Order: sequence, then C-alpha cells, then structure tokens
Amino acid sequence: MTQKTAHRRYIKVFIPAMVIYMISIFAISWANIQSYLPKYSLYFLTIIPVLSIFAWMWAQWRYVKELDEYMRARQVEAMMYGMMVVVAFASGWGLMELMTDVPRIPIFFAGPGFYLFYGIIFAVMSKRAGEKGACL
Amino acid sequence: MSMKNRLKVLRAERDWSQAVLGEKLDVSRQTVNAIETGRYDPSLPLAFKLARLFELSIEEIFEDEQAG
Repeated sequence: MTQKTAHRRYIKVFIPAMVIYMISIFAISWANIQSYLPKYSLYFLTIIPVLSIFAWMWAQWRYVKELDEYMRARQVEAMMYGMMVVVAFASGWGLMELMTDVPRIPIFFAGPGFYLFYGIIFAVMSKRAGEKGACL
Repeated sequence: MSMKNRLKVLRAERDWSQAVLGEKLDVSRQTVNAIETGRYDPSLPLAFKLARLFELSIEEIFEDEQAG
C-alpha cells in the first residue's frame, strides 16, 4: 500500500470522527450550561465523543501500521516523546495538586496536550531531517 | 551507528529519482533519502528487496564497518 493510500484511508475516518467529536463536545457543553438536559443523560451523551475518539485512534493505529518502516519509526518516536512530556508533566502537576494548592487542570486536556507536543516534536524532527511531513 | 551504503550511486547509475526508487520498493521518498544519507538502516526484508531490485547481494550495497 502506498503512503498516499494509507493517508487517504486515515483521512476518511479522521474527518467524520472529528466533526462528530466537535459537534458532540459543543452540544454537551451547551446542554450542561443551559441545564437543558438532566445530568444523567449527559453521562450517556459523553459516549458519543468517546466513540469518535476511539474511531479516530483506531484509524491512527491502522495508518501507522500501513506506513513504511522508517515513517512508522518516526511517528512512533514522536508519539513516545509526546507521551513522555505529557506523562511527566501530569505526574508532576498531579503530585503538586495532591500536596499543594496549585490550580486544578482538568484531565480532559491530557489528550490535546499529547497531540500538541507530538505535533511539535514531529515537526522539529522533520525539520532536523530536512523533510516535509505531517503528523496525524 | 548507521551503515554506509552505495544506494545513491546505484540509483544514479539507473537515473532513478528517490521517488521512483521509493515506488519500486513500496516505501516513501523520505525513507529512501534516510537510507541514502545514513540516517536509517533498513530492516532485513527491505535490504533483501533492495538487493533483488539492483541484482546485487546485500553486502555489495551495504558496508559493515565493524567487519574485520
């Protein structure tokens, strides 16, 4: 399978999954602010963004498997660096939250934080290697 | 430590671009570039694929610098 085909297969899942995710997040947040729905129904509705995240991450996993060995190694390396940053920060900050009165950071931001660092690290790796390339 | 290789020379002899070689090997242009510049050592299956493509042995493409 070519890289382009793998990327196209990834995008075909990624875009609908992200559209559903964004709409569901905004809708659930709005419903929560407006007290439009009973609390228990919000718990059920959060299944929608969770499922869209699962669909996206499954597509990501499939994409990484379909890449050639070098591109896969680079993606995995960038992901590992991203994970190292987020886990180290979350562990340190979480410990401070337990022991001190630092501001609470919602766990919701762990995912976007991971993708932010993964993206930055992948861009830096690509620049250093003199390559154009996109993270997921 | 990465291995030295003759990939760039072999490719130039055939007048192939990195993209063309990548297509023949079913890998990306970036992968060909990384192997040529010594930033990445290919797996054994990819090394065999290269050897078959150029009709050479792996040792004729890659140089084991640690060999005595």
